[in-house]
Amino acid sequence: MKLRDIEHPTEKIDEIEYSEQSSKKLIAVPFAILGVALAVLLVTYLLTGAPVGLGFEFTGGVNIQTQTAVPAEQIEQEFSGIDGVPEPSNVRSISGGAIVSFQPLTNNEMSNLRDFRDANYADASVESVSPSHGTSLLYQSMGAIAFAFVLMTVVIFAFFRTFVPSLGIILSATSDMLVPIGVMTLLGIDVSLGTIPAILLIIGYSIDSDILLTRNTLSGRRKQFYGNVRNAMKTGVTMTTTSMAAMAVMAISAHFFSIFILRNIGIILFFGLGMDLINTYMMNVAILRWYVLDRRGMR
Amino acid sequence: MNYRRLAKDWRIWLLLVVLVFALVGLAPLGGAEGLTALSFGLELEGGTLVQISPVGTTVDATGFGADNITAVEQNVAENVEVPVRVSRGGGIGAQQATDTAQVEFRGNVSEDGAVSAVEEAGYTSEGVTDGVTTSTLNDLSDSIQLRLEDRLGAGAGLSVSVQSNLLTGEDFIVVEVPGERSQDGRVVEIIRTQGEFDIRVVTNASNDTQEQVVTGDSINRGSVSQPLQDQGNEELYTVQFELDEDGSVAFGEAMRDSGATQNPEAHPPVMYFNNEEVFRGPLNPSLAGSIEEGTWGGGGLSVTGLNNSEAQIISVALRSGALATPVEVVSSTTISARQGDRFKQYSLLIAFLSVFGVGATIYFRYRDLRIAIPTVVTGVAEVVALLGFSAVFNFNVDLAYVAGLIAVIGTGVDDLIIIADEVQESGGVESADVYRKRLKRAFIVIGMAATTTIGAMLPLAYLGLGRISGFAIVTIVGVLIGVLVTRPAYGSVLRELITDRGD
Repeated sequence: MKLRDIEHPTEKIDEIEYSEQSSKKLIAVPFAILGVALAVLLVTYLLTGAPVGLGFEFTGGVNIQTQTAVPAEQIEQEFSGIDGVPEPSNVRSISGGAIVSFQPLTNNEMSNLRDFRDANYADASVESVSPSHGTSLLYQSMGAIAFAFVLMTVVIFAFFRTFVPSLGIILSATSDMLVPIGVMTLLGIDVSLGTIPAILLIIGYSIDSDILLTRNTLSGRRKQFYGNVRNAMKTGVTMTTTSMAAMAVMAISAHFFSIFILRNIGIILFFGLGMDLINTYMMNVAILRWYVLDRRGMR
Repeated sequence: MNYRRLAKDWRIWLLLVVLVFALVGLAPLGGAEGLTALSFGLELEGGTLVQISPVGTTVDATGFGADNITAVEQNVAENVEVPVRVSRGGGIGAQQATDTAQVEFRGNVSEDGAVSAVEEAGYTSEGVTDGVTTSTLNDLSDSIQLRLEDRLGAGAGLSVSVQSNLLTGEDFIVVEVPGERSQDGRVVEIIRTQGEFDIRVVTNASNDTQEQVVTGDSINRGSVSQPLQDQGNEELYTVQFELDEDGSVAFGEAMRDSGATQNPEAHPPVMYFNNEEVFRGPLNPSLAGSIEEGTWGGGGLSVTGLNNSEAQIISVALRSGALATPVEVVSSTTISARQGDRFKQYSLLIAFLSVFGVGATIYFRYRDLRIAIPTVVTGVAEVVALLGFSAVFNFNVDLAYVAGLIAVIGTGVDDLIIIADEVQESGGVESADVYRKRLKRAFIVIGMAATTTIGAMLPLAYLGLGRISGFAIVTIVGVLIGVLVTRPAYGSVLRELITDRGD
């Protein structure tokens, strides 16, 4: 890249790109996507009683991940006939093994299952969570998300000290968190304990492009609004797509290695960042345009 | 490139110092195993992690009048079916009505049930919590540690810790046993089957009716011997132990009452561990005689004529005693060494691929190795610094950690892009002054984003949601290292690259 060749952003070019778009249109797209995500969560809630599929860490239960390439049917058959252990609730094959799930087991059933595992699948991992502890983990996770949300709100308002732009950033971050959850539900991936930090990290990840945009447009000259947007966008899009690339690589490779914690974190952040592109450069730009130009009677 | 100016820049020196410390911290010195001094968590090493919750309810009570602790315990215990213990900070049996004490119900009692048991006994309840007192919790933790060490050996590297959840107030005992062992799943079993030991005696030989004599509480824990090989017959073993005073009295009485002293063969004492018979054998005639005559001074007893494995079991059973309260295993995880090993290699590969993906995107965007290389190098420096920090502070590297590491690389690169773009804005940078101004602007955005990220991660780090709090801690530390050390240095390097070409 020639460092001196970056064209000085001029209002003329930018105005053609952005100023022709009505605010309604700019805001409609992100809201439509958010609406679809919320509808997915609502329908899931009406059908299952919870807005998202919850992993066994939250519902309680037992998960066994085998490390041998035995066909799933055979694994299902073998795990179905263990003395003193109920039938598995679900068996699915993954690359390099299978995941066998059970409803919560009593101590004796668990002990029988461990006997079976030690004798036949000593390589397999066994994870068990009691339903009451699962519920407690779920509430704690929700508490952590709520607490993080409040902290984010405080930090954003403290930085900008202007109501509308700050609200725009928070709205964007909220939507960035909700849409990937909807995507997870559509993909049939349960929300597990490992996805909670990813949902929280969306706050941190998505906020920097919002901050960049908001600070550039609020502190820059009003006349150069579109140029400021364009500058912020150039940097912000690079940042977000770089992170998305990292997350896509992580999600895809982790899927093939059957490390689902990493895969789920990758998926959530990928879609969260994708949604952030839409929110930041459509919704937030429209909000800031109104705040910077229209509200002050220009344009 | 003005190397002289760069060599005088404190930011570069700070980065170098941090990197040297990190590399020293990572070096496998002092007997660390493996290539580095990093310690790996359960998921990447294999092992068992068990989270235990003590079952109990505690009432803060007052209004004891003249009753001392024993009286209070008895009065409250009449109203419930679980053992009751009373503890207080001050002197026992103090008479002031304002004195409060913790009345602990060691077993499954609802909070309402506990409060009404206290009130029925004539005392006042000032509040009730689910769970046991701190001292009971520590006692449980010690007992579990002792029991596991007995069974697994002190060198097993096991750790038993008490963790409290700040949000819900729940207390847990967390047991971690690294690596794979022949009877891996048994860690849960050892803990869960809480070692209820008791000695009973056969009162009616024809239908094997038995009566309890003493429980594990009466055994002096330190007195239990290892299996001792008999000198005459090397295949036979003996285990010695001592009963406390009350236990000795109870033992003597029970032996006489059951008729064991008169007819030892018909009324043998039977030892139970977790309600499973582990030993049955008659009293030695001379011991029976001295108990009958009342000359037995109590205390030491020997279990003889055992084979090696019986002796092991009895030694452990005697030593373990009974836990103070019932416990519930709320979660358990067992990872095989093979899976740990696979996950270790794979997560390393995933992290590497992700860094490569970042580097490729940066190169694609800038088409300039002079930007791409410092960016990737800075990212790698951040990772090294973070790993060094983890080695020095003994963080366990697990999957959540790896995810956090990748996340840190992601946010780090974001910030480097902000710096690169901001300082290049509007073309050339003629003076150091302009550069400094632009760098400052970039760091304002970076600081805001970092503060928000840390804010979002703090609740997770603080709540200690098991394994995933590692993710939060890594992210917070990584962001701090990035903002304070590596990114300023990157800014300095970039300044040389840019101002140099400004003419």
